[in-house]
Amino acid sequence: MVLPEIFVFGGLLGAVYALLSLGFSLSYGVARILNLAHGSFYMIGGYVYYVFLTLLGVNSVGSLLLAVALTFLLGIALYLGLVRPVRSAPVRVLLITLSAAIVAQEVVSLAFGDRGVGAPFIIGGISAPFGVVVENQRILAAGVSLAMFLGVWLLIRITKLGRAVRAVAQDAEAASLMGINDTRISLITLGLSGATAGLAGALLGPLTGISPDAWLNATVVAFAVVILGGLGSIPGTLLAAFLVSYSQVVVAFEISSSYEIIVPLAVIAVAVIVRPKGLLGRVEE
Amino acid sequence: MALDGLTFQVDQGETMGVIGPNGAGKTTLFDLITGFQHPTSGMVMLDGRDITGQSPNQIVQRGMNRTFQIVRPFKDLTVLENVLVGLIQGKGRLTRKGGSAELRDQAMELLQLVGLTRAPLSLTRNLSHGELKKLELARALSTFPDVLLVDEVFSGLSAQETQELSDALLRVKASRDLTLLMVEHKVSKVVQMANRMLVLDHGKLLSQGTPQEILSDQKVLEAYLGKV
Amino acid sequence: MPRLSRFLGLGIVLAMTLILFPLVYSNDFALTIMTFANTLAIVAASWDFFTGLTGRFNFGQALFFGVGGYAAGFMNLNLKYGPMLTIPLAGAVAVVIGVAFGYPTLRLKGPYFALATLIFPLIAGDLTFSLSSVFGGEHGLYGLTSISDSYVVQYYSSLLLMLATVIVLIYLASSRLGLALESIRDDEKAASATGMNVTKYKLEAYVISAFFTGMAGAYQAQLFKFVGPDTFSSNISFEVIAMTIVGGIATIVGPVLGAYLLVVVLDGLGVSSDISVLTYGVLLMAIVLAFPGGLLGRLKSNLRGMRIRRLVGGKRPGT
Repeated sequence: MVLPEIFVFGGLLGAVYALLSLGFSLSYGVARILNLAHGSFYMIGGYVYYVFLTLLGVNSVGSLLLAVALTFLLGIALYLGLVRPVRSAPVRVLLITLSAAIVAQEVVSLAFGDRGVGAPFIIGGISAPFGVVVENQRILAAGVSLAMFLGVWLLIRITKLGRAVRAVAQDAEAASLMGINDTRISLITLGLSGATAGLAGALLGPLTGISPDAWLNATVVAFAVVILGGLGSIPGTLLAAFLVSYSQVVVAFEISSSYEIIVPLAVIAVAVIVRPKGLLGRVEE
Repeated sequence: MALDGLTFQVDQGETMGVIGPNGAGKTTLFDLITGFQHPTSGMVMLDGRDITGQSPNQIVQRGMNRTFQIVRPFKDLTVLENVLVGLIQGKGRLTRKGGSAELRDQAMELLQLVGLTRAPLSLTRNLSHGELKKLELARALSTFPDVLLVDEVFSGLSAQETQELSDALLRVKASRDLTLLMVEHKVSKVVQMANRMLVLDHGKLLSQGTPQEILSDQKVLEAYLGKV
Repeated sequence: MPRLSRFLGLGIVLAMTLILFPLVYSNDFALTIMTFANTLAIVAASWDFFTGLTGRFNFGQALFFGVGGYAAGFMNLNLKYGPMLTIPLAGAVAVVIGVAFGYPTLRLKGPYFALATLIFPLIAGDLTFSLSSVFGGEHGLYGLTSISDSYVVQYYSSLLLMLATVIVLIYLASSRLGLALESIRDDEKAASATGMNVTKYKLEAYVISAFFTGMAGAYQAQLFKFVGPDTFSSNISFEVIAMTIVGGIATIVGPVLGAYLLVVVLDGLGVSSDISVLTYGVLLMAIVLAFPGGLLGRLKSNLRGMRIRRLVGGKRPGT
């Protein structure tokens, strides 16, 4: 009986998925940007962590912070340099983020090859929660992810900045009439988007290895989680993240790990078709 | 609930005006009649047939069409093409009979009818608001409806444009023998053009009758001007 | 009408150039590159037919490419059909898949449809691994009958297929169907208010797109004598998007130019695949920022002119 394994692995993975998808939810909900390059932040976060840790000799916490900082800046740069000029046409935004993702993949591939890299864990060793043997890194990744997720959620619910973010998400025009600078908010949102995805990449990267094409899978997961959970709903994102991670883990354990990718994707495709608003959907385009 | 307990009938060849304060539910009424929304209870009947729950394109094929309050031209197409889209359809397939000459004549006739002959090959982004309203009307007519619903067709128009459009509407009604429903803010226009009127307020039918009856109805005056 | 004959004239000149090409460049490498370009041009043009005309972004054109390839491979190996049969039949199989996937997804709104198209080829690609007894797993299907061992024949057959595809797609785009599709792109609600069943026409366009791409996939399988899981790769899907945007969306011939640009210029120069992909990524970025209509964007109005002439006859309306 592998129930405890499923419970533990699914839960740990779900937490990271939640953090990964949060940024995608924010950039769509707040800035109305369907960022196909979202997964690139994940990928780059993983690589930055790797580079600073193994090539530049920075300690693991420092490398982690640098990964977050750099992907934050990258999010802002993406918005300012590429997205804002074409803001008026959602189709062009889609295309420009796609091209950014492709360029990012190739640049990384040229620099580091396309096989992928694996950074050392932040904390080594294993533990056995509920009797299940699990790497401590995995627990750390889940814990930090969950903490960050809740932190950002609280930020949005409680702080003045958060209220401004929600106002822009509701109605950007009205918000700007109330004196909220929606460019600044979009910038912060995209930066946060990048940082959270980058953090997820830095945390999960050592466990799975990161390759330049990891952006696609990460984008698909984030996209799917957010749609499943309902565009614009943060609690929906959390719920859906676990749904996706559990369905992946269940399939991997019960059927075969070679179906690990298909079945969750198929489930998502069916869910999107059957219930397009998602579980807790709110935002209408 | 946006609309509640509305029952009325429009006879063939009539012009029925629908007025009411903002938020009264006038556009919702049109959406319900033309299939863009479906009623939670009640029926919509056209020509003795129950069309409740049908999709907009099915209802158009049955002979009823509408204009939209906020004009929705096909923005990347020319004026001519806007009108052709409806003309090339027949029974839901792109096979409405007619060679190219016939299509051209039908299209030009439509544009003449609404008074929009200036530049058939210009893109709709180059049209004035008044011209867009005319195009909206022409497009609704391109499906040869028997019943036409016009939603705030005079909104945003100057006095001259309003006159041109209402002349066009009268021409259209006469030449196509239409049954017309008009949602309108300009009560004066409705009084001029309608045989009968409906007054909506807060989703309910406040009053119905001839324009004379409506204008002297105390309830209606109160709804518009507030209780005195 | 001067614009129209210029368009046709240009088309004829280009077609002649392509037809006479092997007389000038008869080396194997050049012919192989051009053959490959022709194949991708078909995929790009079909992508443009659907997305350019309906405005719905399809991120998984590779689905049909792979389906066509595997269908051809399967028929070739198990039923012993030759390329003349497998190619059109593979197109038909792609049509069936198009209906199966299009029917439930085309009624969905933008982002939902986009996600679904992104996912389907990934699922299909994985299926070839899981059903490896039928589809060969990571080795794919190999040992297929070749179209010909002569590079010249390969070039001309691919050119023929490409020209036929482009001509048919232009014919359809300038027909009543094309007008209906563009009206759907501009405003679905208003389009249904002209009496059309919007989903039906979207499905028609999707299926047409599937047919030609499926044939291209089958053609390539018979060309390489092999088909593998990376025919479902998102790289192909993204490449044809880039080709179309660069060349000019909704022009049908723009994608062909884009295909030649990307394949001939990039692959032909012998640079590493990373650099060539990087280049087209940057090029796509630049075009989206500066020339959103694409390099041949002006042809859109020519296509429109062609359509208006066909629908209402030669005389300028209003005269």
